[in-house]
Amino acid sequence: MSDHVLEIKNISKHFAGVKALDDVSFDIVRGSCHCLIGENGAGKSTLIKILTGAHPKTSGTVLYNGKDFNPASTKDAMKAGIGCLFQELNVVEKLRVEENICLGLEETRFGIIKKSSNQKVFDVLRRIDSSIEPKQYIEELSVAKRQVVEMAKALAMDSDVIIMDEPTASLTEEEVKRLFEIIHDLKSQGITIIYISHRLEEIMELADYVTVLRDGRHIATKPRAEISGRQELIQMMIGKVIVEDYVPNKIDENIKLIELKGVSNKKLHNISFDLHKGEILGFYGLIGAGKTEIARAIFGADKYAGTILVEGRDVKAVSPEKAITNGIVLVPEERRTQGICTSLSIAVNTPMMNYRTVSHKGILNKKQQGRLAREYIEKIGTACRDENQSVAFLSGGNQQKVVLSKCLNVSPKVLLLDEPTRGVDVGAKQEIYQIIRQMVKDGCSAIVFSSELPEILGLCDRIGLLYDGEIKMFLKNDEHVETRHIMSVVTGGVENE
Amino acid sequence: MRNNKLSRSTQKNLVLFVILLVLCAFFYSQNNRFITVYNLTNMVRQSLPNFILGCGMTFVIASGAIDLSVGGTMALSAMLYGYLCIWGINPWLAVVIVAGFGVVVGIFNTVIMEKLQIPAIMATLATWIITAGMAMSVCKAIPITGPELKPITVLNSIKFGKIPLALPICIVVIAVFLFLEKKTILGKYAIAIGGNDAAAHFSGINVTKMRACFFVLTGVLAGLSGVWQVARLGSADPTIGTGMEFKVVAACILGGVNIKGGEGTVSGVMIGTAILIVLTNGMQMMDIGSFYQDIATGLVLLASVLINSDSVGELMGKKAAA
Repeated sequence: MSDHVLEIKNISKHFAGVKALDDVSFDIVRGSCHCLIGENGAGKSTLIKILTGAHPKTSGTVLYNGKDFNPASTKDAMKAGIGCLFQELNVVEKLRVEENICLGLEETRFGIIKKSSNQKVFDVLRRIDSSIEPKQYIEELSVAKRQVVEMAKALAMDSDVIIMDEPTASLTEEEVKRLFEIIHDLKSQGITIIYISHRLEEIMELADYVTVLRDGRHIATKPRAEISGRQELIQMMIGKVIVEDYVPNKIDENIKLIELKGVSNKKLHNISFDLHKGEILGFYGLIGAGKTEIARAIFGADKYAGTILVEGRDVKAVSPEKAITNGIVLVPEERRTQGICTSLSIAVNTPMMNYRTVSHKGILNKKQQGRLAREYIEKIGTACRDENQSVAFLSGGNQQKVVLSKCLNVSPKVLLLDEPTRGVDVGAKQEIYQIIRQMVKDGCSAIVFSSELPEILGLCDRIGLLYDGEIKMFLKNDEHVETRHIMSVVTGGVENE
Repeated sequence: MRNNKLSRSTQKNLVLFVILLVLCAFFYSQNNRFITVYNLTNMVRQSLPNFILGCGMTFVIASGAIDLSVGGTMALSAMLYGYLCIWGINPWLAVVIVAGFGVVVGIFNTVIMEKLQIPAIMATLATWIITAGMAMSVCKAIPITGPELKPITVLNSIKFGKIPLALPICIVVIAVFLFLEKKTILGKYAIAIGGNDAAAHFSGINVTKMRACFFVLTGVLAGLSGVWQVARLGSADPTIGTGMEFKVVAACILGGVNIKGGEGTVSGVMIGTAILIVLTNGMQMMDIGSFYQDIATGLVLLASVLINSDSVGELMGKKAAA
C-alpha cells in the first residue's frame, strides 16, 4: 500500500477544443496539506471538478487509495470519501448545526429520526471546534463557523480527503488562524487536505507540498522545504509573460472624467483615483480582489460610501440607467448573464442601452434598429449571418463584440471593461484590443479590469494593483514595470520585498 | 443573540398568536355571538379542509415548491366519491379509493415537475385546471346527490357532547404533522431542499423522492377534504374547491412560510389559517359585505408578508438604531 492517497496520471480535459488540462500528473501524499496554485485559468478548478465528479475527464486516470476512481457526481465522490468545501457554502441556514451535519446521514426507523445520530455530531465537532453548539441554527453563525460545520459534515461522512477552495476568501485574520489550526489537527488525524488559494503567504505557511499549474499544464510539484520563497512560486506561476506592444495614449491630464474619493463598501476599502481624458486605466488583481466591485460602484450597480465625481459632479448612488445617461457604460464580467440577452437577435441586443435612437414616441422602428445593428456589425467586425441572427449562436468573441456594439452606440465618455476578453479566443482578443484602442483614440476614456496581466500591460497607461479590496499601488506602464513585482503585490506581498 | 433564547420562528408564531387573540377579542366586542359554542364549532366544521391542507402545504412550500392543484383535486375527489357511492361501493371503502386518487395526483405533479423539469407553479397550475375542468364536466356542473351519500354525512353530525367530530379530526391531523415535522426526516428534508437544494443533493438526499412525498401528502389531504365537503353538504358539488388553493397558500404565507422555501412551521401555518378564518367569520358576523372581506383579507396578507420580509426588518432595525 503506497502512502499516496491520490495519484493523478496523465489527466487531460478538453472543453470544445480548448485544453483546460493537458497531461497533468502528480501524487498526493496521505495526511499532507497539498496546495494547488496557478493564475486564473491555469486549470485548478477544472482539476478539482474532476476529482469531485462535477466534470468527467477526457483522458487519464485517477487512483484513489490505489484504486481507479471515476466519480459520476459530486455525491459519488463525497460518498467515496472526497469532501469539498465549496466557495458558496453548502449549509442550510434554517436548520440546526447537528441537523446540517447529519443531513442525509440520519439513522432512521420508518423515517423517524433516532436519537443516536447526535453522538456522532458531538464527536466530529469536538474533533475540530468545540465552541459550536450542536443546537445552534446556522443563520446565527459567522461564515467561518459555517465553514467549520461543512468540515464537520465532511468528517461525519468519513472523508479522508477534504478539498478547500479559497477557504479564507471571506475570513478575518483571527478566523484564518483558527482555520489553520484546524487544518493541522485534521492532518494529524491522517486526513489529506487539498488547499487552493491565491494568497501565497498562506501557501508558504500551510503547505507540505505545492503543485503549480499554468495554462492547463503541470509545472512542478515540490515539497515545501525545497521552495526558497514566494518569488520562486511567482516565477513558476507566471512563467514568461509575453506582452504585445503597448502604445501610450494621448492623455489630457487637466480633465478628470471620473474621480473616486474614499469609496468603500462590503468588498472595497477606501478606493480613490482619477481617470483622465484619453487614458486607459487598468486594474489588476486576482479573483476577489475587488475589480468587479469597483466597476459596479462606478456604474451605479452597488451602493457605496464615499464620493464618485463624474466630470466634477457628485453622482452619489446612481443607477446604471443614470450612469449611462452620464456617458458611462459597462462591459460586464459575465457576458451570458449580464452582457447580452442570448435568446434575442443582434438587432435587438445592439440598441439595448439606447432605445431612444431607434424608436419614435415609444414605438420601435425596426428598420432603424436593423440599420444601427448593421452599422456596428460592420464597424466592429462581428462575424454573423446577419443582424437577425440570435446571439446564442455566436462564438464567445462575437458575443463580446455585440456587447461592445451595445455599449459603443451610446457614444460613451467612459468605457468600463470588466474582464473584456474572458472566454474569447486569441484572434478575437486582439480585435477587441484594437476596438478599445480605437475608441480611446476617438476621444473616449477606458478602465480595464482584468486578471490577465498581458492584457493589462498591453493596453493600459496606468495600472492599479488590487489586493483584498484595496488599491495597493499605482504603476505607470513603461519598460521599468516588472511582472514579478506586480505578482508579488497582488498576492499580498510587501511592496518592497 | 444570547438574550433571545426563542428561535426566530417561535417568536414570529407568538406574534401571530397575539394577533389572533386580538382579532378574537375585537370581534367578540363587536358581536358577543362570535364566541359561542355554536359559532366556534361551525367555524371548525367549515374550515377543516383549510387546516388539514395547510399542514401538507407547509411541507410543499417549505421545500421550495407550491401545490396549486389542491382546489381542483378536492372538487374532483368529491365528485369521484359521489359517483363511487352511487355505483354502490361501500362508502367507507370509497374514502380509501379517493385517498388513493390523491396519491395518484401527487405523483402526477411530481413527475411533471421533476422529470419534465417544469416549475411547480406551472405543473400544479395545469393539474388544477385539468382536475377542476373534469369535476365540472363529469356532472355537467350540477351537484349530484342521493340517498347513497347519506352514510358519510354522519361524520358531520356526530358530536361528543357539544364537540363535533371535526375538532378531534383536526387535532389528530395537526398532531401527526407536528410529529412528521419535528421527529422525521420529512420535516428536516423539506427545509433542507427548500433552503439549499445543492446542499441537500450533495448530502445524498433523493430530492425527487422527497418531493413526491410532499405532493402525495397534499394530494391525499385534498382528496379527503373533498370527502369531508360531501359529508358536510350531503351532496357532491364540483365547485367546493374553488379558491381553496389561494386560501391555503395565503395561510401558509401568513403563518411565516417563506414562499421561496427553506423556512416554515406547521404551528405557524395553523395560526395563520385560524387568523384568516376568524377574519372572514368575524366580518360576516359584523355584516360586512364579502367584497370588503376580500379587501381586508388581502391587506392583512400584505401586512404580514411585509413584517416577515427581511428588507423591511432591516429598515425598522435601522430606524430603531438611529
